Amino acid sequence: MNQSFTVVCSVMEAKLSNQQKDQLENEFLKNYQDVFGTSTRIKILWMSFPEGQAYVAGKPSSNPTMLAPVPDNTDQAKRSVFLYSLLESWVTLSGYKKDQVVISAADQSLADQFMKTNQQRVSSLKRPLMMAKIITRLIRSKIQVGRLESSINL
Amino acid sequence: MPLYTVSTKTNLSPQHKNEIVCAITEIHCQLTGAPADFVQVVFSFGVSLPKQFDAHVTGSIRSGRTQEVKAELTEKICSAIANALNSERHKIESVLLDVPAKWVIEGGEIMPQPGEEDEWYEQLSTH
Repeated sequence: MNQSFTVVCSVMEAKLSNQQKDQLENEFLKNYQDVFGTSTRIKILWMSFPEGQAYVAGKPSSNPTMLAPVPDNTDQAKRSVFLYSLLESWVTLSGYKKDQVVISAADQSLADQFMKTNQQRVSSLKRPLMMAKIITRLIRSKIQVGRLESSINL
Repeated sequence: MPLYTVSTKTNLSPQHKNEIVCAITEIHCQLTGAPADFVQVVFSFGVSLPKQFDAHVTGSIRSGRTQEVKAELTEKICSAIANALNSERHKIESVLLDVPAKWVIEGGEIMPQPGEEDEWYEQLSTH
């Protein structure tokens, strides 16, 4: 069965090189296909945040976070293998230490809920404009650097 | 996790951000007993919020908190944000999403269930 997932990686601006992002994209696809089958496809959205916009324990942080949805009701053993394989990819390719990366392998339905909440915080009148702005950014970055990139700031 | 994303229409000053980050971290830890190391706060600026709101906060928290705790989290965090922004409580919108702890890896390991943090830290220190 063909499965497709939208993965969201939030990283601090300029913390990862183009090469690192490309390598990570390749590894993440392998991580997905190893666990969920070779027909699995993913789309990765890189959301950057400027310095001074993320905090952990009350202090500024540059730690990346990743939302990597999985099929609903994936059993925990499979989910754990998947989570640790993604972590291994981050640690090997990004230069981050394993205790700096936060990864969520949420059920697809919860990931959808998160995305919906994200959209619904915007005024319904201005939502089409916001979507157009984000889509324009994503298309531009796809053309310029070959990846889907945007910013946490709209 | 928790991860709180605070969205506003315009950029916030470092002082405002600091005040909000400290308040969210303190409130979450006091009400849930979670360690401060777990609490993440991220700001998203330039968001066209509905006219009646000055800020929106989405909190992804570990599943297992009672409705009472969640109601208190919402109330106190929204009030703290309103206070920091010189706004009013009803102008801060919030959504809390429950995420099972075992679906998340943080600190290099699968997250502990709420209340099992001490054992988790102990396990981390032996790795």
